[in-house]
Amino acid sequence: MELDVEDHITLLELLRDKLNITSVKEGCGIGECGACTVLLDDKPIYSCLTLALKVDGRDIKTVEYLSKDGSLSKIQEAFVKNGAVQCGYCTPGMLLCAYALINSKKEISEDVIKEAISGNLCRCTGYIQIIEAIKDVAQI
Amino acid sequence: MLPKFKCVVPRSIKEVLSLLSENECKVIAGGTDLLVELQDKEAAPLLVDITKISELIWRPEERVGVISPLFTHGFVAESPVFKDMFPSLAIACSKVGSPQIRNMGTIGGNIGNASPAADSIPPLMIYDAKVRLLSASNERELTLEELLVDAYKTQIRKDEIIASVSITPMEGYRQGYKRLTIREALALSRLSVAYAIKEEKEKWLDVKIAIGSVTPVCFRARELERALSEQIKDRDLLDEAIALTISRIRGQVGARETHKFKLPILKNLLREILWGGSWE
Repeated sequence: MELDVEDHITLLELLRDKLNITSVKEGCGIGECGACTVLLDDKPIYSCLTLALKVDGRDIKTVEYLSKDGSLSKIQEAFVKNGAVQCGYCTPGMLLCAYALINSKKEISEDVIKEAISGNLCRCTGYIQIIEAIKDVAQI
Repeated sequence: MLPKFKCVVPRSIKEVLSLLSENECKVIAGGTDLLVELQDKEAAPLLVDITKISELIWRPEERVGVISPLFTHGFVAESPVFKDMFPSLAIACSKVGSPQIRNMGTIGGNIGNASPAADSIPPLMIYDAKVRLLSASNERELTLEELLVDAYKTQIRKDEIIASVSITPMEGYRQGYKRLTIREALALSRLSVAYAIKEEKEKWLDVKIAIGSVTPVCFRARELERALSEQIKDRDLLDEAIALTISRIRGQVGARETHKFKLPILKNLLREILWGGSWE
């Protein structure tokens, strides 16, 4: 995809306002809440603190990627099964961090899961269900 | 909201340096500090993004002990070279912010921003970090201690960039990084200690300690290092050396409310680190 963007536009603004990908949320806008998380070359980053021009030529994944074939991915199924979605605002960011972790070479434990989602706040405080869902997919 | 600004993405150091020499600019790498700083400002200078400069990109094993300013904290934390040879730095980098911040924030940015709570700075100091600065007309190298002037103030001139940071491995030293935070995740250091200690069972041979988050600038506790190096291990001597450092901190910043809890914790942390096991 090729787009002309102004220099001061963040990746978050590009995705939401120009491309209408509203699964990417703005929460704090200063890189603390994780609602705006996307994957840049398969690593989680805050799109609110990333200038859109920085991702020129690179791979960006949003939560839509996880169900690109029209059905939910394993990690999304596990979130549903474990009741890991409450208000839903943190969910896209949480899913992307979970997806990045599952696909990394890391040996996964509960502590590693907690670390992987430590940059994402859930203000419904449903962390346990989220951790359980990721454990299900990691088979631990 | 960010103000409107222009951002250029040069491909060579020469191009960056000529831009910096001719314009009022701000260098951006990861942007995790800068973009927060620019929020709600009326205007911003021209930004110069240095992340696409191939001369600043190398693999750690190609130039061991030479850090690219563009290495992210996440990269340093996971890199086998840093984990094996510079473990204090790798541990510190693994504690920065959150995974998302670590995937964007860089070592060069951490130095340039010069926060008193910067996690990478104390470990860089124990590895005797030297920072190479380039401008269109000059090249110079400063130790990290010389470079840092005050909280958020460095000797880096507006027309200079950090080209590399050289560090010295401490082979045969016990090395690490400990910090105190209000909570476990996504937290700023309230107190941090990087250490490299060469010792025998009964004797300290060489001691390197750097302390962050208690003074405006992270510092090497040289008075403590001198008091302990080449000395037989002794609890009273250790406490005297720690007292030197604590009185230096008090002398430098005076009485501070947070020091009521920070300084006793610093004392215990230094006892634990230097005694090499449980103090009690």
